[in-house]
Amino acid sequence: MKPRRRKIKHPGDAILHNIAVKTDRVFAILLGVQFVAAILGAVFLTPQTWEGAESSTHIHLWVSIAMGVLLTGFPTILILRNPGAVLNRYVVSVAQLMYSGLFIHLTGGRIETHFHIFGSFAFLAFYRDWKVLIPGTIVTAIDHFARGVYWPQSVFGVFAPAPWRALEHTGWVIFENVFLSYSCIRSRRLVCDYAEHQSDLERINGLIERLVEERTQELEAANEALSKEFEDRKKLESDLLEAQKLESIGQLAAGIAHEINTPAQYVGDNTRFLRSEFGGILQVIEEYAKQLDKNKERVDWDTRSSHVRNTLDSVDYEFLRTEIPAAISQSLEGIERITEIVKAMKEFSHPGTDQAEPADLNNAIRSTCMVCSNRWKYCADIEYDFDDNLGPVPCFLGAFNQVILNIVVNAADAIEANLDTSNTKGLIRIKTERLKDSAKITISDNAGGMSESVRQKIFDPFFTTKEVGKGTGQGLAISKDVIVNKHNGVLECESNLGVGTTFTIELPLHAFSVQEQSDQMSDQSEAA
Amino acid sequence: MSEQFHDELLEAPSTTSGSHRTLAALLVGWCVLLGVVVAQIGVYAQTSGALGLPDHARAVGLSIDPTKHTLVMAVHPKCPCTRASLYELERIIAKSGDGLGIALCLYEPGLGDEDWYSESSGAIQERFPGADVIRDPDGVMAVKLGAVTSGSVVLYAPDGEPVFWGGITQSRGHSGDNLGSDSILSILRGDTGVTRSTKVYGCPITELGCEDPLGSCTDEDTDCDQRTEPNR
Repeated sequence: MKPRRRKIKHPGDAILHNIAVKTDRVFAILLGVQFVAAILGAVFLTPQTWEGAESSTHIHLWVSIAMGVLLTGFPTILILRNPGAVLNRYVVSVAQLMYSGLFIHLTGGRIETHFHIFGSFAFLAFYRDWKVLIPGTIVTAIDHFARGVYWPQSVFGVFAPAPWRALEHTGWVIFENVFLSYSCIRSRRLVCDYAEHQSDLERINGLIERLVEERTQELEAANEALSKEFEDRKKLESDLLEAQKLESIGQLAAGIAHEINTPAQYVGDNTRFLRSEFGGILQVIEEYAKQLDKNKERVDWDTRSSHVRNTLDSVDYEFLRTEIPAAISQSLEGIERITEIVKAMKEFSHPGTDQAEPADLNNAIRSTCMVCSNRWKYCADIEYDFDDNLGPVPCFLGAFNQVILNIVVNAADAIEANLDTSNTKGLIRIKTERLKDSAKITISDNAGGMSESVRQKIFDPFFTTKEVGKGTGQGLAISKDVIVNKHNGVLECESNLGVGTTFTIELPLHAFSVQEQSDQMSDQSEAA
Repeated sequence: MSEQFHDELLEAPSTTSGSHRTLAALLVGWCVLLGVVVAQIGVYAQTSGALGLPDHARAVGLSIDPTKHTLVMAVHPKCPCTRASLYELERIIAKSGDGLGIALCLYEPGLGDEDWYSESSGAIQERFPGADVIRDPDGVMAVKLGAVTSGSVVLYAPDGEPVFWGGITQSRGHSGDNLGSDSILSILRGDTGVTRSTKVYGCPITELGCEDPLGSCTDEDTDCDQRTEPNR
């Protein structure tokens, strides 16, 4: 079957067609109900006709059935065949008003039943098509003309006593239909206006959707760029931390070399001393050995004693007896010192791990201070006040060491700068303590403190009070990032101008870092 | 029927002209059938009943009030068409006031079947208080009145002379403005030159039906001039 061709000239046509389809269906039901009502009306009102004592089925019952079949059947078939077709509503209009006539006839012309006519026209107006009122009006006019004018004339030979009554009835119908037609036209116009607006709205919606889609794509691109930038930034921060560590090691290298060189130097001196004096020791031993040789010619005790004493005197035995043990002890001390420095370097240079691991912070702080001892020992003393019950604290050890180094070196630099005026050694006090849920590290100095305006900026990147070439301004910014973001901890600074500065670090004992949590979450989402 | 007409009316323009013709034929057939049924109703509604010439009130055996007109209606209690006649009677009474006596002659079949009268007389009496409700076994009085069709009325002048006889509905079982009611009211007002007899629509009361001796039951036999003259 070929598709139905329907000319939709206006956006409102689709809506009006939809209204027509729905109204057709309503009328299909209504006509069915009226069919039943007509039969019931005939059964209850005029069941039988009489001739004296004899009765038979009233013609109204047969008429009701016949009219019902015609008035309901044909329109219903049309509606089922092609709902919404214009022909349907005209046929429905005729059928509906024919039903009005049937009901009026069945009820013996009751005035009240005439309201069915007006109700029918009101229902027909549901089609929003004023033309559909015309067939119904014609049916009503013919019916009234026939009843009110033609039949009375044929019966009585004259027109009805009041022929204008029939015309009046039709007039009232026309009166109603004028308003209904106006209503239909206006309603149709409203539907068309609405459809136009709806069409405009859909067009605008389409535009907005396209815009939203474009913006969304742009946002997604921006989001991707931001994500990439975030990743780059993370990598940059990591690289920066590593670079700063390398920078620190570089800066500390000379001092460390000096620290190692000093004990190495006197270990060397002592070793050379032992090597040079070892000949005298051998000379003494050989003299004793010669004197103890049985095969040698016999000499008296005094002679032998004299030889030995001469040998001891020649090698300055008294000097060797006191200096050699001292040299050995000193050398061992030097080696131990070198060992300590190397160990501290090794600990400081811990590459770190991807996850926080329990670490001995006391030992870490001590090692870090030893690594940078060349930076502070000429201007300050360090006083340790470690909590022996601190226990292992989960942390990223490499990064933590870097933080301690930054703070201690800063303190030493400040003290050194202050030393020019005071000329007395400063003091750096490092204290650790275990709190309920965290480990607290306090590093204070008596370098004279800083102003409030400076204190507020010390964690800003690239902010430094040091002279050009001495500081990059990255140390404390990185320290803040390490403690706060990486460890989910706290790094605070208090300073009293003219007195000193105190840095307080708090590391949680049982918590992952914020970054670690976000990394884990992103890992989970990627896995999902 | 043009193609454009089909486009607009049927909204199924791809259908063949054959199907258009079929539809048009169905439409015409539908209208014709409707016309036939409506014509049947019209014929039925406009088929009048038998009507005879009424006798003088005395001859009929009616005792009427000599101070006013009396309207007598023959009623078949089970005729559905008579509802409209009774409704019209109410309208006449309402418009005429106390200057009109009412008598209702209730038909009941012979053989002593009293159910019809007892079933209907109470309701009639209640509906028309003050009216004489007369039992009319086998329609004997109806025949005397010439009112052998239910709904027939006879208007008697105060002296017992019939001045109007016939129906007071426009068609069978259909109330509304009609010539009979207007004529009666005109006579009561004292107008002259009014119609004295009209057709009556209702169920036949007696088996005599159209075989009334006056021969006025069929349209062909209708002779208005003759029927307008009461039998004195």
